[in-house]
Amino acid sequence: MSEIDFEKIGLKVGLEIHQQLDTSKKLFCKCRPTESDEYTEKFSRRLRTAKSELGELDPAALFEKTKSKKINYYVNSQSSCLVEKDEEPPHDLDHDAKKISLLISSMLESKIFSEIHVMRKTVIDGSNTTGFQRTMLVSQGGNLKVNAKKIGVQAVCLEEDAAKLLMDEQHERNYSLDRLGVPLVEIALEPVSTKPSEVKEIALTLGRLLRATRMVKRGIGSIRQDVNISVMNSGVVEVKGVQQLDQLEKIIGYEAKRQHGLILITEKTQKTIYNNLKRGCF
Amino acid sequence: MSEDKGYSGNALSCLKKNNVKVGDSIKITADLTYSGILMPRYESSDDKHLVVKLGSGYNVGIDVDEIEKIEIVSSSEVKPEKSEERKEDVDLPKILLLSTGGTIASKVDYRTGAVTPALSASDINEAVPELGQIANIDAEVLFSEYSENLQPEHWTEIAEKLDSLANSDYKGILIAHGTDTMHYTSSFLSFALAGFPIPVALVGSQRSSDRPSSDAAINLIAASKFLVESNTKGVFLVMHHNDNDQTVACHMGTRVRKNHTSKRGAFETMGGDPAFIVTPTLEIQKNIQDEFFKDAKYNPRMKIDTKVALVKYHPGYDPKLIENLIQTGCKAIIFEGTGLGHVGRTMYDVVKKAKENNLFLGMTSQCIDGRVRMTVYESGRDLLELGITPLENMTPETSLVKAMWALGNSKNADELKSLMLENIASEF
Repeated sequence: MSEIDFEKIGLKVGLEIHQQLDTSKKLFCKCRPTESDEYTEKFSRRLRTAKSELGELDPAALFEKTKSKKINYYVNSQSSCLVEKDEEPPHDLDHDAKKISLLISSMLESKIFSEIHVMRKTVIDGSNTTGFQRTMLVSQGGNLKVNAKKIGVQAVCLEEDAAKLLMDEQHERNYSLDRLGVPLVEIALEPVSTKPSEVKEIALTLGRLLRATRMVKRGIGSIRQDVNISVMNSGVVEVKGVQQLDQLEKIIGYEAKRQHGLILITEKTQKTIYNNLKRGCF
Repeated sequence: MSEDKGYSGNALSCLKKNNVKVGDSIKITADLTYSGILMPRYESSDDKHLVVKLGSGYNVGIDVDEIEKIEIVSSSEVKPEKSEERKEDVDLPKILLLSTGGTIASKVDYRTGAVTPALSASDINEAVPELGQIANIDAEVLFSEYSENLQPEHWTEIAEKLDSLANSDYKGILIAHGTDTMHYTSSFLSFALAGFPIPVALVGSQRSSDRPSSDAAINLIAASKFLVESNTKGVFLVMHHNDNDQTVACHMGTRVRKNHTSKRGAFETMGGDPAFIVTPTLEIQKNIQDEFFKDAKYNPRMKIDTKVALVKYHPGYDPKLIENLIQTGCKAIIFEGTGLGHVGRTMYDVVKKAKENNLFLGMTSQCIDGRVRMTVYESGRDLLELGITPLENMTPETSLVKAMWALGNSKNADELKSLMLENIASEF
C-alpha cells in the first residue's frame, strides 16, 4: 500500500469490541455455552415485522420482511433449551455475567447507571429466535489509557450473542443455536483522530485489559471488532466482524484510502464540470 | 395504567416539582447530563428512579437524589392513530373477529413490564394483512381481559353474542382469547351452543403479538382459512401444532387442554389427533372420521349454575374440605382422582355424606389422558357403590364446565346425571 498521510486526510476511527464472557451459563438460562457440530433437533420459523415500544416500525425489519425467508434452526440440547427456542420466557439475568460487566465498567472508569434496564433490539434476519436481541446499557463514559493517550469510552453494554449462520439461500436460511444467548460485553470507544497502527494498539490494550479479568473467553470468535471509519468530508462506514488484529490495520488502511480516493474523484469531477461550464461546453 | 404511569413517592414528587410528564423530551443535570424521553415505570419498582430513554434507544434508571435540575426540551406529542381504509373484496366470504383479550392482541405494558391486552380488534387486522385475502373480516371488541381473569359470566356473554349471530351471513366466527383458560371457554360454548350453524374458532397466541416471533399471525391466518373452507360445524380451538411455524391444529373444543406453560404447541387434543389440521400451504386436512354436528339441529341452552367444585385428590387430602363444600351449598363435585378414577378410603364417609345431600359426584383422572374405569379395582367399585359417576375420558376441566352447564339446564338430579352422561358436543 502506498504511503498515505492519515493525519492529513483526517482519518477518524471508532472501535467497538464484542467480547464473549467466560461464564458457566448463558445470559438468560442455565445452558452451558458450548459449541459443537452435532445437532439433536431442527425446527423452522418465519419472523414478522412488529411495532416498537414507541409504535414505530423498524426500517431494517421491513426490508427483511420483504425477503420473507423460512428460517431453519439447528439445536444441540447440551447448549440450548426452550429459552433459546423462544418457547419459554427468559430466566433471571446470570449473576456472574452481571458481575463481570460491572467489573469491566469500573476498570474503564465508566459511570455505571443506578438502574440498568434490559431492552429489546429488533433483529429479524433470523439470528435471534425471538426477533430481537436482549441488551442492556451498563455504563457511560470513561477512558482507556493507551501508551500516553487517553481514549474515551462511549458506553459499555451487556447483551446476548446471536445464533451462528450456517447457510443462506434464496428462500431459506440455517442457523445453529449454540451461540445464541452467550453473554457478551460490548465496549464502544469514542472516535479518535489516528492512524491504523495506533488503532491496533488500542485494540491490543483493550484486549489485554479484558483478559486481565480472567473472566473472558479466549480463542477464535470470542472477540469481534466493529470499526467505524471516516475521513475529512466523508460519511462514516462501519466494517463489522473483524476477528483478527492483523486484519484490523489493513482494513482501516484500505477503507481510509478508498474513502479518500472517492473524495478526490468528487473534487476532480466537480472541477471538470465547473471548467466545462465556464467554457460553455454544455 | 394509572395516571402517574407507575411513578410514586420521591420520583413522583420530583416529576411534579419540575412539571415534567411521561413522554416529554427532557435534559437532566445530575453527575452527568442525560438527554432523552421520560418513560413510564413498572408500578412495583422503587420510587427512587426516573426512567429515561436515551438517544441510543436504551432505557436507564437515574437516581432521583442525584438530580440537580430537569429542563423540558419539548412536550410529548400525541401521534394521531392512522386508520387504514380497508378495501372489501365482494367475492370473499365474511368472518367476524370477536376480541375478548389475551396476548394475541397485546403489547408490552410498562406498568408491570409484562404484556397488556390491546384495545382494538382492527389492530389485529392491520397487523395481519394476509387475512384480507382469505375473508372480509369484521372486528368487534366484546371485552379485554387476560383469560385468567375470566369468569363464567364472560362465557355466558360470549355465548349470547354468538347466539344473536346464528342467522347472520358470516361464514365463521373467530374469537381472540387468552390461552390460559381458552379450553374452559371452548367447552362451555360447545355445550351451550350445540349444533350452532357456523364453525367457531377460538384463537390465541403463546408469544405476544408485539414481537416478531409471535405465533399470533399464523394462528389467525390458519383459523380464518379453516372457517372459510372446512364446511364443518362446532367450536374449535386453533393453535400451533408444534414448535415449527408450519402446521396449525384445530382441536375439538371439548377434547383439548393446555399442556405446557409456554410452548407454541401447548394445546393438545387428549387421546387423539386434532380434529383438523391446517397445512403450511393452508390446506385443510380432516383427521376425524365423522363430524359430530353434521346433521345436528341448533339447540341453544345457555343457562349456567356455578356451584360446582373441581377437587384434585392427593394423599393427605382432608375430608373436612368436602364437608365445607357441602355446607357452602355446592351442588356438584368433579373429582380429579388418581389412576383409573380413585380416591383414598379416608374419603368414603364424606363421599357418602355428599351423596346424601344430593350432590352430583363425577369422577375424572388426574392422569388427564386415558379413560376412567372404576370396575377394575376394589376402590373403584366401592366408590361406584357410594354413588360416584364415572365420566369416561372427559378431561377434568371440561367435566367441570359441563357440570356447571348441566346444573343450569336440568330440573333434578336424574336429569343432571343424564345430561352429564350424554354426548352433547363430542366431549367423550
